[in-house]
Amino acid sequence: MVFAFLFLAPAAALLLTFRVVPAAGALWHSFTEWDGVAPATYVGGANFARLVGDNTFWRAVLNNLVLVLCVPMWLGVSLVLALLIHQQVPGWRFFRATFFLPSVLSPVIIGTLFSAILRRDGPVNRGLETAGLGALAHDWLAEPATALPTLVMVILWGVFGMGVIVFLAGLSAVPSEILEAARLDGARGWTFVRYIIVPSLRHVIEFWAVNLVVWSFTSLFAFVYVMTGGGPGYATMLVEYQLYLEAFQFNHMGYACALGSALFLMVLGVVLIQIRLMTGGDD
Amino acid sequence: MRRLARLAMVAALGAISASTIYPLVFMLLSALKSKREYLLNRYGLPHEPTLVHFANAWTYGDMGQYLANSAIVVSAGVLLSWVVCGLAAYALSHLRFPGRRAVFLAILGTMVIAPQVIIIPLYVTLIRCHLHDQHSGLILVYVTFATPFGTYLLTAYYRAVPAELVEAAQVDGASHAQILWRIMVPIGRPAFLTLGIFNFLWMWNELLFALLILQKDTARTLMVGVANLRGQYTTSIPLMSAGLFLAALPVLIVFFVFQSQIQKGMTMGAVK
Repeated sequence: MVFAFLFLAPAAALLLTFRVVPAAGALWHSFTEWDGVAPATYVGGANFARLVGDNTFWRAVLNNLVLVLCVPMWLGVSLVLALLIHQQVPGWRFFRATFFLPSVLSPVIIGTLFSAILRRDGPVNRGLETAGLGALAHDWLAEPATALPTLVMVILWGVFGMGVIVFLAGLSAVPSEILEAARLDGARGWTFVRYIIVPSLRHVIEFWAVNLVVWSFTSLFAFVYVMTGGGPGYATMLVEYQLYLEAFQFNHMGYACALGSALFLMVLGVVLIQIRLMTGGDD
Repeated sequence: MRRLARLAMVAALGAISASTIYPLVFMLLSALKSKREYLLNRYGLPHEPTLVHFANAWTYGDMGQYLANSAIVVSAGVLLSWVVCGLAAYALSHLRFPGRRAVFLAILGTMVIAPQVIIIPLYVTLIRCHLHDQHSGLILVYVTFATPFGTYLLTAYYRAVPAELVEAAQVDGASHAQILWRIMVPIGRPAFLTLGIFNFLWMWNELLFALLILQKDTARTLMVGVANLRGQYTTSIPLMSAGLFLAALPVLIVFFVFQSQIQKGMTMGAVK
């Protein structure tokens, strides 16, 4: 009993000091006006009222929802590629390794690299021009119409390989007799995926989908920071990035905390599902 | 027909592989070209390869300093995370006490608190503790955010160690410290390795905390250095590429050496 307490003490102390107590502080400051220096003044629900009427916030929420709507695509690409690799097509080891390569790179590096590659005079546009498709050339990250879709594709580049690895691990846990029996029964293509693969991988697909949703709300700061700064205009503004700007560019700490509380509520349900999937509902 | 379809499939996979490799090749080739050559020959192989951009990034870009800072923060973070999570996981898997499952769930439950949500109060806390602008402050925050997953991973691994083994050791008069060091750590080696690599990758690559907690230029980590120098770099793609390459090199090495462990770590929790 004493030892259990001792062994858990470092983890508990860290989590309380640097995660739980600050969370309480964030909630409290959501109801204050605060510049981070002078003492905060209680303003009731004023920040939340402002939030409701804040066009930038709704634009950010909308962009976040667009990203969530892209989750099935991110998921689907990984699943299809994992199925192909699982059938051990020629060169599958090479494909598996190269697909996974972007997953270890920092969003800072991925974002900076793609900023260069997607520039007006970068290799992508050059490739299009060489192929006679010069009309399709864009300043991909700087034009309002293309910025968000381009961001989505860069994120896909960064994350699809991790999905492939997760699904491969799931596939290797499916008894091969099931897959073979289905093949013998003539299940092919879409039927095979829909009735054999998806049910067998249900748990893994749920796990990865939930991860991607949480991720799309809380882990894209670095991409936006190095690639677009939320622009052009508000084309790639995300809630987490608006929070950063309000807090550390404009010193609206109270309002930024209210944004944080809103973000917390947006991901709360999804993270609880995530934890449930990790613990399998049992112990 | 079937062979043709198969060929098309392999070609498609090859194209995707090319798309993952090309940006890195572009980075390396650009870094090796002089500024002038880059303007004349953007996409080909360098005719007169030069290492001058690497040297400039290292000295004028302060990459050497940033690299040392990142190395300090990440190695301390990885080590401390092993200790903190290893101790907690031992208690949660082999010691009996009331509310054990509740504590386990509470630790995992802190995952509902995302970094962005608490970044402001956290920053104030660090200032009050005189930990801002200090590597130690960033290290403690990294270890905190690594704790739920790390504890989860090690607990799952320790549970596979038979309780009889631990009890037999206790009967023989072994202390908890001895059990931990002599039994748990050796048996848990693969899990510790996985956790270490996993923490190395995310701590090395992390931007938000590093950006806000270390504002003093001499304390900055590599990713902050790269992100902040980007503005100056855009005038010179070769210089930027050299800086990026130096920043990516450590993770690329880890990727090539520890590929299978990384993949194992990333799939923990997905497949039970």
